[in-house]
Amino acid sequence: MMNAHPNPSNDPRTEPGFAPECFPACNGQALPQMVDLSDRNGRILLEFAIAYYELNREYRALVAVRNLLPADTRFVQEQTQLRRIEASLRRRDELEDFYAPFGVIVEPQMKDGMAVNLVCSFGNQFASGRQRSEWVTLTAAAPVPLPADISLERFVVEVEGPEEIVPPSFSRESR
Amino acid sequence: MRRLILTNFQAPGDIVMLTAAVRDLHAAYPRRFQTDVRTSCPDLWRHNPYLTALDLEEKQTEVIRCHYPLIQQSNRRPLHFLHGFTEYLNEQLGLNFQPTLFKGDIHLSDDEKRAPSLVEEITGVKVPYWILVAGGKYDYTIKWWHTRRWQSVVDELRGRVLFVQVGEAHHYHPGLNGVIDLRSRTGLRDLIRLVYSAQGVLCPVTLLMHLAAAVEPAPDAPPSRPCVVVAGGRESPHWEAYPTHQFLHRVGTLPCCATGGCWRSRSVPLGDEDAHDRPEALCVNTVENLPRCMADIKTEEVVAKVELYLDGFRLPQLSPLQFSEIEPFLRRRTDWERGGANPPLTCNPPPTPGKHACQASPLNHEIKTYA
Repeated sequence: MMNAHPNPSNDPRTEPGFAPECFPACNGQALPQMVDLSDRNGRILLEFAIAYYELNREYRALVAVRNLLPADTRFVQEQTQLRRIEASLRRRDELEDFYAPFGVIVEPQMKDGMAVNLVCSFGNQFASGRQRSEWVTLTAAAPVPLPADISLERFVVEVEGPEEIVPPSFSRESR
Repeated sequence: MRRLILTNFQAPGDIVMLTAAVRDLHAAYPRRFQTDVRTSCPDLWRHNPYLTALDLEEKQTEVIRCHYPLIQQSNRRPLHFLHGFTEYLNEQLGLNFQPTLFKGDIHLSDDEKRAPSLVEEITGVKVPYWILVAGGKYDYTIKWWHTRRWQSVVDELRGRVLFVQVGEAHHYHPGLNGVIDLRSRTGLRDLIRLVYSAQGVLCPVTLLMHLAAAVEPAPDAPPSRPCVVVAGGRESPHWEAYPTHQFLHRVGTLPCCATGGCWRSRSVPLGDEDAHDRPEALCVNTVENLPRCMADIKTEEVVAKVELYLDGFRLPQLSPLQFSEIEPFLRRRTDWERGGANPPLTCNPPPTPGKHACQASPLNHEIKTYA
């Protein structure tokens, strides 16, 4: 199955004849020119971007056939192009299937028949890009006026560390 | 009268089980307890007649953090999840009560029951529908069935059964075609209302399965709500399944779950450094990265179970008119056809109810995914 995947080391952007208008953005941003292939999510993004780049190119070629030739003479060329699109779609599907168990969702946003942006989410990250298991640090500033007879130097604050994830209202000992 | 505050901050499905324990405690010991709860899902307790507002700081109030250690014996002992909190409370309080009903205890107000369903609010049409959960949380990915198979079920029943896809925004719920898409658009209370009016529920082992049993059926519905659960081999069926549900499992048919549920977490590591990625938490029997127990469950099997209910109860199915009325509200993966700028890839007729789109064409695949 992996063999059918677009090869991320064959980035079409480095190849002659690259059509930049067919290369989709990912989550609203252009993919970095140099993708770190050791980063799993970056590699997956590139694989999907290549898959949709192929689809966009094939679709553009289909439109060209339809625009160039009259309807009654283009049957063979049209069918050939449709089959190429079909093959690209199957490769895209295999990619989706392979990464589905990893929690990867990639959905194209279309404009004029082309996938212009890929909305991607990963099983190991929140939408913000933070690891799911990462600890969250929250900081809040709350101004508290000191009593008149206490100076800041004499004021001692003890901070307890986190113990368990239950709401702070549970101060009472429970079973 | 003893005053208890029961606490639990686990997932909503666990809390539904706790609602059953509270009901059964009062059934066995009427007027012996006043109970209140602090849980992660207050919405599951709305309109619950067994709750009394109790003060956490009051000295006479006992606070019990509820667990269900019984789960550790779930592969050996003939017990259901419903026994979990019950047995724990029995131990903690020195009681001896048992589950009285095979379901959780979720209550709706009369207004909620009278209100039109969310589907009717959206489409303007009162139509029968099934709720579909085609994914789940990231901690137990082993419960996921494949998206394409969920899609096949929807396609197979297109024109007869309307599916409403639900799921939480931060969980894994890839969008399906041909469904009413309510992913990330339902709070817990909406979900309860949605279940109340639903003809059936189709899901993996998840909250919706428990709600399907716990939420009373509408007056014109069968006495038990149809529910098909794609379960695999993670949990022992006697622990998890409800008797009126069609629970598709593989326990006892595979070496990895030969004598009970495997209770593992993930089919493949997600790479999030979570404890669920540890080798001992991973599935040991995968097929193309899917748990074998889930991969073995075929689309036809699920469709057949849905049809069992449809035929057995003679449940109303979508009429052609109803289908045409709700079709504009069904999700499409892209706006390929709707954009209008491009001719469709092939010239097949529009999909007819009960048939796959463009079945006859060798090039149907592109239409199915793009249209």
